[in-house]
Parts: sequence; C-alpha cells; structure tokens
Amino acid sequence: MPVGVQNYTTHFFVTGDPLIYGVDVSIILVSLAIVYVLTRYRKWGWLWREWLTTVDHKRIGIMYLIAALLMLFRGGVDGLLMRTQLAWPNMHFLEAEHYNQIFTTHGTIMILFMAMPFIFAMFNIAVPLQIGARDVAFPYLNAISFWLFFFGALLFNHSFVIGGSPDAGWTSYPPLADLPFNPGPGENYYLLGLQISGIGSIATGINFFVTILKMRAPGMTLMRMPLFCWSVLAACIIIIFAFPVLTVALALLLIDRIAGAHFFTMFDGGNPMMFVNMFWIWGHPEVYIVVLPAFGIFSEVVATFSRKRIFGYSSMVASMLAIAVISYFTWVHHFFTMGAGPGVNSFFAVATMIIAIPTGVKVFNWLMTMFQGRIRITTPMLWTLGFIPNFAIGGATGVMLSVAPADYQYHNSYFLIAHFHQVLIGGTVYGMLAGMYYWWPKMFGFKLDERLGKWAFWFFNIGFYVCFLPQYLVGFMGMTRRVYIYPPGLGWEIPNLISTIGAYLMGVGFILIVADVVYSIRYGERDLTGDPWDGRTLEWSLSSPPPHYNFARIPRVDSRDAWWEMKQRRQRGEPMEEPEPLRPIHMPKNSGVPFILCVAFFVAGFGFVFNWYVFSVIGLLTVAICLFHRSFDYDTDYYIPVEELEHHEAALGRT
Amino acid sequence: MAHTSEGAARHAASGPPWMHIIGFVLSIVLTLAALWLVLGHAMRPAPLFFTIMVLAVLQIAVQLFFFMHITESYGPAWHVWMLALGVVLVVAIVAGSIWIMTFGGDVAY
Amino acid sequence: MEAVHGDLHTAAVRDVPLEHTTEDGQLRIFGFWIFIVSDLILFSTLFATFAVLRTHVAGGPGPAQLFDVGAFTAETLILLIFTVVYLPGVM
Repeated sequence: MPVGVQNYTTHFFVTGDPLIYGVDVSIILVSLAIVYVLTRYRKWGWLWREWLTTVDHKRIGIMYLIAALLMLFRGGVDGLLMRTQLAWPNMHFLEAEHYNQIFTTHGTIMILFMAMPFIFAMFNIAVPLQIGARDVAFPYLNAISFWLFFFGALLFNHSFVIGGSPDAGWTSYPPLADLPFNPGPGENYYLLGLQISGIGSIATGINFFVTILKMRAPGMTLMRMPLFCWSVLAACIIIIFAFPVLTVALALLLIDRIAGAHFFTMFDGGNPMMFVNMFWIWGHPEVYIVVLPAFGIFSEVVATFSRKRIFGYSSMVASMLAIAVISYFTWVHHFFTMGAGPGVNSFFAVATMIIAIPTGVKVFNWLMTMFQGRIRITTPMLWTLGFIPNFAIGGATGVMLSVAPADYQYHNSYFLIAHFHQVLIGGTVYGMLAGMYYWWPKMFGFKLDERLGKWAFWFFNIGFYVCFLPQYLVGFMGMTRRVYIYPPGLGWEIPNLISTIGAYLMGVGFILIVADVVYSIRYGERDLTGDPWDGRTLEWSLSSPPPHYNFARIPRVDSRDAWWEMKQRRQRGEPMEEPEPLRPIHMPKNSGVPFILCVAFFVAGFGFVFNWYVFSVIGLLTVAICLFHRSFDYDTDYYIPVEELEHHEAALGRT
Repeated sequence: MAHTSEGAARHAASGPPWMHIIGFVLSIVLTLAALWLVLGHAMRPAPLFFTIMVLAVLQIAVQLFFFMHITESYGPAWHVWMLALGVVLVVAIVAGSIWIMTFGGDVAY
Repeated sequence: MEAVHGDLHTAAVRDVPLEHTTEDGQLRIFGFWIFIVSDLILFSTLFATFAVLRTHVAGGPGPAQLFDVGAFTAETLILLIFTVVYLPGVM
C-alpha cells in the first residue's frame, strides 16, 4: 500500500522535488522582501495599528479579498500543473504522488480558501454599507473570523513545504484518509486547517445574519433591502446550518487519526460511508453558500447597468430562500453509487431536480431586468453576461447528473468535473470578480481599468469554454477524475490538449486581472463622487472609500433602491430634508487580541498535525487566556465626538 | 416590538421567582419520569423509545420557556423561526442519516 | 453601533427586560440564539453518528457495560440544579 511511497513525506521538510525547492526559495525571498520593505519604510507599526488589529469591516473585507486572490493564484497554479500533466498521454511532468497532492490542494484551496474568503470579502465590504449600518453586529468577532480563516489557510498551506501535502482528495474520504493508508501529517493539515477556518466561517454566518436582521437603517424593511443583502442572509442561514456538520465530520476523522478511534475505519465497526454522508450534508449546502452571494452580486450589477429596478424582486427573494432550504435535502446525489436503495436515491434525485427551478427563475429575472434597459457594458456587467450562458449549461448538466440511474454512468468522470467547474467558476468566480470590479472604487477610491478588465474577461471566458467543454466529451469517453496518466489510443489526446490550452488562457486572464490592479493603482480613474457607476443602493451615497464610521448620519429609507430614489428626488428638485445635527458616534476599539488568539489556534493546530501535544497545550491555553481577557475587558468602545465628525466630513467635502 | 408581558412580569414581581421554580420542578419531574420508565422496564422497547422522545421534547420546551426566555425579544422573533427550521433540519440529519446508512440492513460488525 | 439607536428611540423602553434595553444587549442575545441553533445542528450530527454506529461495537463493551446509571443520574440532577443556583443572585 502507499505506506512506502509516503514515507518520504514523514520527514519534516519536504525534499526531493525541484518544484518544491523552487517554492522554498521563493517563500524565503518573498518573506525577506516583505520584512525588508516593512522595516525600510518603518511600516511595522502601521501594519499592526491599521490592519492586524482592525475591527473595521471594510478593512477586514480588503484583507479577505487579498487572501482570496492569493489563494486563487495558488489554486490556479495547481490547476495548471494538473492540466500540464494531462496535456498528452504518458506525460512524466508530475509523479503520481505529487499529482494526488496537487488535486487535493487545488480542490480544498479553491473551495475553502478561495471561494469562502472571496464571498466573505464581499459580505464585509458591501453589507453594512448597503443596509446603512456603521459596522457589523459583532466587529470583534468579525476580526476573529478573519484571522481564524487566515491562520487556517496558513496552516493548510504549510503542508506544501513542511511535512507533505494531503493527498486524499478535497473530500478526504476514509479509508484512504485514515491513518493506515495515509500515515503522514498531510491529512492532519487538511483536517485542522479546515477546522480552524470553519470555526471562523460559522462565526461570520452568525455575525452577518444578526447584522442584516437587526441593524438595518430606519425604514429599510426586509423587502426594501438590496438583493445582495438577501443573498447574504440566505447564505448565512445555510452556513449556520451546514458548517457544524463539517466540524463534527472533521473532528471525528481527526479522532480516528490521532486517538485510534474507529468511526470511519474499515475494520472494528467503523463505517467510512458515514463520513461521506456527513461531508456532503455540509458539502452540498456549501456550494449554495458560495453561489448565492454571487447571485446577489449579479442582481445588483444587472440593475445598476441596465438602469432599471430588478425584475421580479419578490420572486428573487423567494427563490433564494427556497434554495437555502432545499439545498439541505439533496446531499445524497454526491454518492448515489453507494447504492442506498431506490427509495433514498429517488428522494434525493427529485429534490435535486426541484432545486433547479428557483435557479431558473432567477436567470429569467436577470434577463427580464436587462430587457428594454439602457445597458452599459462595463467589466462587472461583462462578467455577469458571461455568467448567464455558463450557468445555464452548468445547470443543465447538473440536472443530467441528478438523474440517479444515469449518474451511475457519469459518476466521478470528467463529465462531473466539467459540470462543477462550470457552476463554481461560472457562478462563484464570475460573480466574485464582477463584485470585485463593481465595488473596487468603493473600497479603494479608484476604478480598475476597463480596457484591461475586458481583455482579462475575454481571455478568461473563452479559455473557460476551451478548457471545460472538451472535458464533458472526454468524460463520456470514460476518463475518470484523479487519473494522472493515460495511454494513447483512447481518443482522449485531443480533448485533453485543447482543455490544457484553455486552462492556460484562463491563466492569462488571471495575469491580466493582476496587471489591471497594478496598472490602476497608478493610472486608474479616481472616483471623486463616490458614485462612479450611477448606483442604486446606499453604499454609493458615501465617499470612496467611506470614512471609518461609514455614515455620519444614519440614512432614512422609504423605498427599494434607496440611493436611486434620493437622486431622482434631487433631480426633480424636490426639497431635501434638513439634515439632522450630527451626534457622537459609538465605535468599537481596535484590538490585537483576535490576532493573538488566532496565532494561538495556529500553534495548537500545528501541534496536533505533528502530534506534538506540548504545542497544542500551549496554544489552547493561550486561546483560553484570550477568551478570558475578552470577558473582563470593558474598555472595548469609544465615541467619536461631533467636532471630529465635522472635521472628517468637511475633509470629504460633505456637510 | 413583540416583547411579552412575561418578561415585564418577571421584573415587576418582587416575590419568589415562580417561573424559575415551576420550571425547575418540571425539569426534575420529567427527568425522573424518563429514568423510572427505563429502569423499571415499564414498556416494550418501541413505545418506550417513543415516550422518552416525547419527554425529551417536553424537557427542551421547559428549558426554552422557563429558563432561556424564548418568548422575549425586541422586534420580530427571528430566533424562533431559526430554531424551528433548525428542528426540521435536525430531523433531516438524524432520520436521513439512519435512512441512508442502513442500506442492506443494519449489520452489527 | 450606538448604544440605543434607530427606531429604539421612539419605542417605549419601560417594560422591556433589562438585557434588551441596549442595542448591544439585544444583538448579543439574538446572536446567542443563532449560535444555539448552530449548536443544535452540531449535536444532532453527533446523535446521528451515534444512531448509525450504535451497534458497531466490534465485540467491545456495549452501552450496558459503559453507562453508569448512578453517575449520569447524579450529573443530570447537578446540571438541572445549576439552572436555579443563580437565583439568589438576581432576587
């Protein structure tokens, strides 16, 4: 068994692979460069005061965004390495073991350390501004969530150079992920990295659920809320209900691995399928967690750039809530082939087909919003337009997969791979990139360059189809996922080669996005109005970037698309209400404790990975001390006095 | 704005905290009843299991009403809706897992 | 993040339970309820695992040998008594 193959990974540092030596060198160089720049320009204090200790949702959102883009890069490189290996029969670019590690980290990173922080970035940046709040409900917890994610991701990424990467797939099914078949620390990295960031995800779900339901500006009833906030609310409901299941599944597998239990082992009464069952109770809702916020972003973008109210607002809300609930009743379609019997498979097949209906409703609503609208093709709109055919194909192939008897044919073939990339990239990644381009001026005060952005879109979008359409085909030809090599003569060569070319085109698209960011920092159009897109929702009523307290006066809302209505009224020359006098604003204080708390989680996790329990004890004790400190810390907030507010607002050119 | 008179009464009352005492007695009674049913072999397994489940649900209700003040809230009681949805999904997880995982009979290894 | 903001100003705050009188308090209580909901799911998953693997003991000791009735009865009663021990403090 793979025991012998894996022995080399049990050494502390991973050795023997030129790719990894290259990464070692670049990690050291980049770290040295960061330390040098921070020291040279005396920025350590700035980093600590302005970023590491911040509880401001806008800054936390920006940090999520940076992390998500870095992880998109890493996951993307993993993907390109795999596509290179598969480009032609009998390639020897990667060894079997290395290939296993790469598809595992590609999947895990893309779902948990790219898609999740990317949606959280959008939550943080947009939600409080859209509902007219000054921060989230629990700003301190929000900082903890971010740092838990950050250190969970950091722990997971350490596996690449220290100890060896996990290699049982992003689903980490036992018995392959169990100790006898997978003795190195790699799987422990997976379990603990996900566990730590998962705690943060639950906290974020609770935080934004409470924020949206309790902190809306006066007059903003639920049915006057921007659709993005509705999508976040629906996603939070799913997070709250789904993530605890993952927590349990990971914890029990960890107990199997480090304490010799038999929940999921092959012998002694364990049942590996129970892990699969629990993994997908979380796993299926998870894909809706990452795609619903994208739906919300598309709704905002479509309305803004068609200069129309969104078509079918209430049906949009209803369909999102329906998706949130039904998504919980479809999980068995990931393992129809387990053979749970006709009753079980029929139930979950039908539930899966039903969930396509609300999704279809949304597609028609977006189309109807554009119908007879004055459409401006900006980059965010381009990503939205690219998404619709993408998701239609992905949805249709999804319904094909949901047919249980047919699924026995498609299961774990490249058809499945093409399907879920189509919905996850076409849905989530397109949505998040649309959101990034849309809210970029709000975050940073300048627009991303449209020309480069459009080039990036076209490279990415065309590359996407070139990459994934051949995979449907090669799936039908019998190619299964996770094969690292194939012989010539099966007819797989040409589709695989085309697919690899497409993957590189997407890579070019990503590089162009990065180039766009770098170019625009210097030359991007500055946003002086705060409303560069002629937007409809409250975030565009603020300056770009908004002051740390967001709203000097909490706006009063009396309709949907509140900011659009205000602008219309102003245009018609209707008298504006006399602004209320400013009042002192109550704000949370920055704190370094969330950062320290999460470093402690990292240390504890590292201890568990290598069974060095001294580290675990020290880490968990520090966690306890941090929690204790918070319980008795009464100095958590302050007031911004009116004079300071006036000063700030005057500096922003607002009265 | 639907806070109930129960919360107000709790503040106004200066006498013994009856709500807590009633809840405490009920929770003890429910616990001992379940214990007695099992230890005394009062029923056959299937009805016994059902009865214990009913007692457990009542126990949850007692805890929620008498100690956790589920009825108190400022604004709409969203938490009650979330708890209700939570109960539905608990059933989905537990019953669903049993249903799915007992394929081919429940084999004791 | 004002202590009392929005529509709370206009509402009568008189007969609201003490812990609901500040916005911070309300948010925390509501957040706590949502946390309870997530815990509900967490424990139900553990119960589901127990229900599925209940008979899979591989010849080891079963529930009858492992569970000590006296001990867990005492533990349950202690737990329940803790729901009222704080009463002298608030009376």
